[in-house]
Amino acid sequence: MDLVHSRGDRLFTIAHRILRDVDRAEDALQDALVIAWRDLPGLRDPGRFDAWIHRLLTNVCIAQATRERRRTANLRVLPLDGPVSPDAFLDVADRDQLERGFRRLTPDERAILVLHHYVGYAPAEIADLLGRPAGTIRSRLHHAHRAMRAALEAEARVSTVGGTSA
Amino acid sequence: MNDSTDIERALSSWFEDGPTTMPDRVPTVIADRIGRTRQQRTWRLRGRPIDMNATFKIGAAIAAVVVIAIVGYNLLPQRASVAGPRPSPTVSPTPTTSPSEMPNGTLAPDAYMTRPFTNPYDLALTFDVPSGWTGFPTDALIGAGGTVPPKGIGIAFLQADGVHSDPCHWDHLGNQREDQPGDVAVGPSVDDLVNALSANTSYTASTPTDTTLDGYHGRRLTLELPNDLDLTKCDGGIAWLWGTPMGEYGIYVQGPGNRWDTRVLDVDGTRVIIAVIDYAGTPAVDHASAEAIVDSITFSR
Repeated sequence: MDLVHSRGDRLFTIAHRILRDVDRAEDALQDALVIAWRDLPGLRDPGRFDAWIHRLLTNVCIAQATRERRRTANLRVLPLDGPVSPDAFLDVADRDQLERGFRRLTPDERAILVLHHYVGYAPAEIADLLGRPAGTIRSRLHHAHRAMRAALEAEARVSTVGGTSA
Repeated sequence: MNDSTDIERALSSWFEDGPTTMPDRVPTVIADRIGRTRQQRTWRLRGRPIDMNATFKIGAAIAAVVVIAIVGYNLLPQRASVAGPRPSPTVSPTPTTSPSEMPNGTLAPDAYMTRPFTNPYDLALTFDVPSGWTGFPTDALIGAGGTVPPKGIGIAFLQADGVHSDPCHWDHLGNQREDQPGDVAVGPSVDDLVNALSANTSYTASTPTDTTLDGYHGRRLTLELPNDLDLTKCDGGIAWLWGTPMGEYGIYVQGPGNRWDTRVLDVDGTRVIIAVIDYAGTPAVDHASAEAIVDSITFSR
């Protein structure tokens, strides 16, 4: 019982951070757990269950985000789902710009950012998790950082000239 | 806020925002979905080794824990939902007089029922099966001679997410997963899919015709793969005609010269594909037997 409670919530939050949408995160969680059930006989090392299910979930999220990008000709900024906790470090405009910047990233880059900054995996661990070269992960992480920093700097420029973020 | 430390701190802070608990309905829905999902099987993996050693038992044990935990979790008091209410799917209980679920293995002549999809998981297909067929739950039947060239035959119940422009090179995501979209995006309608299949030049497509099955309308066409198709040059050694929605099962091309007599139907808003998969050398009696099975299909929820 504790297994599902703890893992289900955690997996859901990871999916939500990548997909930025409650319904799509729920769909991804469902798909990942159904696939996990289906593929369990192929899990050779039960000790790596967490990494294995994180990989499944991340692949589902990337696939879903890829389909979403294909279907939407223009990027949309959707309202945040769920509560937003106050944090003096980030104001509303910062969060809005982070949201915009994040949605401009590729699904791969989004997933890597979440796995690194939210889940806490090191780049080498992400490489192992996703089956990609470590150099590729570091490169995408660097690009994603640069893109997110640029988004915040754009907000700072707008604020400086007295504008408001759309 | 423009140095490396600041952006990392900003991201870490930002990612802490948002819901932290899954919606209450998730365990129920998942328990229901996995109750209708079978684990790894062999047809689609033909040619790949299937590991059935002790790790299977370990995996199965974990699976049992997960299932028990998911079901048990439903008995917990309901928590506050982080998301707004969304209609929960409802499944009508199967009447005790209904045909039995199609089992895995040789089928005695009888009527059978299967629910081939995870979404919608409550869509049931019921059909009459004559002798000489093997059940491949939940989405396929195999003829007595298997599905291999030059005489094999099978019947599959499928869905599609896009079409592969080149069936041989389908692994666009590079993850070897069958349930990935095709690189040619198609809309949700029957015609969207049929038009995309008709336009593909990697195989021969017949002129689509109108068709009806159990009162549901759709289009029917036959797709015929080249006789010189070299599967050894394909991604993963297999070929796919169309993409498969995440979480669903697909059936890959069974060999060179494979023919897919494909019905695409709109079943109350769900696009359902029913394919009789055979070869030019398949005995006519086997094809007629497959046709009879398909013609007997009724849909229910």
